[in-house]
Amino acid sequence: MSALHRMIEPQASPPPRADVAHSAVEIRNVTRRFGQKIALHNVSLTLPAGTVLGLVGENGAGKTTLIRHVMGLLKAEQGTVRVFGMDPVLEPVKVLSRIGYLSEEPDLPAWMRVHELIRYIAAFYPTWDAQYASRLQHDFALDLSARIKHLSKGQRARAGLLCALAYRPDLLVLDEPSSGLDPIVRRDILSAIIRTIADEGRTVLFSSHLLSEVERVSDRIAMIKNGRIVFCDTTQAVRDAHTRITMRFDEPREQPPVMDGVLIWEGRGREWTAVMSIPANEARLAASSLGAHVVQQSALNLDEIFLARANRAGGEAP
Amino acid sequence: MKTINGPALAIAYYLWLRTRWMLAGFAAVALFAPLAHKAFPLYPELITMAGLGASVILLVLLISQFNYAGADVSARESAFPKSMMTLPLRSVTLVGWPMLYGSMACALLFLLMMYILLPRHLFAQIPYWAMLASAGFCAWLQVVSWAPFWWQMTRVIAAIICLTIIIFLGIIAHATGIPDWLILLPYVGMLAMAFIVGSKGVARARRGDGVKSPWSNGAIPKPVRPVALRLTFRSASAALLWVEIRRNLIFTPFISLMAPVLIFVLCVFHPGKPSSIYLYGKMISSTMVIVAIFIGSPLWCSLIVNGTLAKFDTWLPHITVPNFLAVRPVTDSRIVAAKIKNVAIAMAVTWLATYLLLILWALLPNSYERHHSVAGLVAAHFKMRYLWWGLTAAIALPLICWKVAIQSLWIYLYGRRWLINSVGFATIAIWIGLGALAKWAPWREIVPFLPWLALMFVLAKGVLAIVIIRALVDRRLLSPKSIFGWSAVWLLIVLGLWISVKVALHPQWLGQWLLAAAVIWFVPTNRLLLAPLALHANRHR
Repeated sequence: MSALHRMIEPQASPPPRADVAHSAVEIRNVTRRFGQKIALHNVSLTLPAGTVLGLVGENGAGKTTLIRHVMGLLKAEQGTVRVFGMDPVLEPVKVLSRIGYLSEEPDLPAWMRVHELIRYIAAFYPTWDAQYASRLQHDFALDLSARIKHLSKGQRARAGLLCALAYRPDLLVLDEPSSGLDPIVRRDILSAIIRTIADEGRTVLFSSHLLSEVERVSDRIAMIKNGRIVFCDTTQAVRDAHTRITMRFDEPREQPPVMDGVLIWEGRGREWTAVMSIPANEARLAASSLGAHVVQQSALNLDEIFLARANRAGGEAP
Repeated sequence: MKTINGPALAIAYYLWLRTRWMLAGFAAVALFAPLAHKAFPLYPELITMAGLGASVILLVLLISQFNYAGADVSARESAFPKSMMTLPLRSVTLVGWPMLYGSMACALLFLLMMYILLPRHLFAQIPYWAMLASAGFCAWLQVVSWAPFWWQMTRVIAAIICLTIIIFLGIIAHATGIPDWLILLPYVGMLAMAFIVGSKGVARARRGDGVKSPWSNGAIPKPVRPVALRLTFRSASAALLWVEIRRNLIFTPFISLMAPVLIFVLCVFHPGKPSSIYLYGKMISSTMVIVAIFIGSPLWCSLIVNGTLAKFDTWLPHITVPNFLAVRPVTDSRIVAAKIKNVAIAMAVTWLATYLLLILWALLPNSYERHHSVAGLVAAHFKMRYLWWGLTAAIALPLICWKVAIQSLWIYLYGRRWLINSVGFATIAIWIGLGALAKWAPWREIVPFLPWLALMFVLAKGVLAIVIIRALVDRRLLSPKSIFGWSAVWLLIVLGLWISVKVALHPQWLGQWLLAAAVIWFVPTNRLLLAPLALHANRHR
């Protein structure tokens, strides 16, 4: 290290606190405004180390803003963001050296050739695994002499993925990585996530519109709406916490009855179907208390939960 | 909601949205310049200079908007907005209207400058060819921006050639005594040509043609060269510097050497001695003017290239830190250090090329007079102390340029358009203020207080430095330990410079303390310290 760099580099910071060492990401009461718009409103989220968290939400819900806070690209106006117990804005070197990041638009310099890109990125990471990079390059069939601007969208995503994986990061952050890509590239990205999980103790935070993908690989799912976290739980718990019941009333009804936890009502007359954000047994009890007979009851998949939540006005948690 | 009928109005509305602030700026200049002339009749030059400076900045901004600036200017692909290419309109319509609006705006604003800002006694008759030249300037920039090219960087070279022809055609024609009405004709032709070439260019870009040369069509593709994945960068700093050199180095010598190269070529192909210039009642030798252009060009360039040197890619319009770099584990200070190194290399390359060109010019047999070269003159009057003076100047000039360029890097590193757009106007205001102060101030009364003023200035600079250093430490951009290191380096530079100037120049008229204050003022401190802070604010918004 040259004298100039020794002088400008800040001193080593204290090691991560013991109480947060087990969390890869800890977000506490983060609020962020862009002008008049509140992009994040008092958001709190914990991502335990070694888990895969799928972040879902509509366009403009605040997913990318949240991820940019995790990466330290945005500074929290209120609240705190800790990644491996450190502030990503104050400790960019320590935090970012452990994060692999891929966004929808990988933003790679168009003028670089693939081998130049790999050489360039490798210089920043002491843990760069050249053999692993070489294997990924081979698996992804990346032409090393090609310029980035001449790569297809899928190949560009693969190049970005290689750069995000080859130093075996502790945390992989993917911001809608498979958006607009063909199924083969999506498979590559998914298998990268799975591979990362297989590398003991690594953590993945990824946002996606493709809920089947999220459902397939996530341990936990967080839904964000209008800048608020609507729910954040394990995939099974989220599924268990939602149910669809069809109930029949003795008399025909003009309007659906008032019931707690209902996200969407459908139906008319005597038969009404509700998508509810309560477990199945509680839903049955609630229906009985209104004097209705439960005709049918079914579990919801993530797509249906997402649609029901997205269609519900407001962003508050139930 | 009201709708707009017709492409002419729609394009006008689109351009109005992009240019309204610049046009409002021109309206403000046009309104306030006559008022200022009335209010301060003793300082017409200052007001004229301020108005002209503001107008030139506004004109540059305006032309960039009529150009739809926003793409990689070094690329082969057309910079015409892709969203407009798919509109159900003919290419002539897409090109014709913005070209007409842009040319008209530039021509009218030229007239405005002539009639309102410049005093009428400066010219007997308004040079209408210059009005058409300014319109042609805008139109041909549009043509060059929107046309696809076969090779990278061709656009930049084409722009320089077109604009040089537009500027010098009128000047040379006027100087050779051709009547003004006759000079108008080629400019009218140029405008018509711009429309035709621009339409063809956009039409080719819409078809996806024009980025491959005819010789490459059908040629056997080059076999893919096997490339080994070698990891050759020693550190992140080396990688950062490599990108800086690849993307941000060439611009400074390129811009800086344009005028000297042109002069050199003219001197080579035009062996006659150029006539002397009459300036402020004195005859100035053309040899001196040429030397001044050679030396002045890099100096002037160092004042204006801070933007391109601070950007992350000179050829792209973006001023924010690209995600690609922002997510890398590297401190803001290290990114700034790479930029400072790149500026040093750029200045070294620029000055080496300038010196080389200057030496070649000096060796030309007619550089001093017919059959007399400057080199011969220098050899005839050679003295050892002249050599030392020359060497000192040769080393000092690149250092001064480096200092000037790096101390204003923070403006672009901050990444806010409002700051970049306003800094030009603020600079004009400061210089005008200083000019007014120089005229107004009661210097006889002030002179005894100069040492105190200098002391106050030094104290203010010190206090500001403490505030900035504290902000740097708070953001962990500078470790408390390294503050002592930097302070020692700074002190050594100041002391070294102070002793050098004192020994070499013996400035009797400037006391020791005033000299020290001047040196402290000269050595960059606060603006340089601001650079990592500005980048931090840009990277972590």
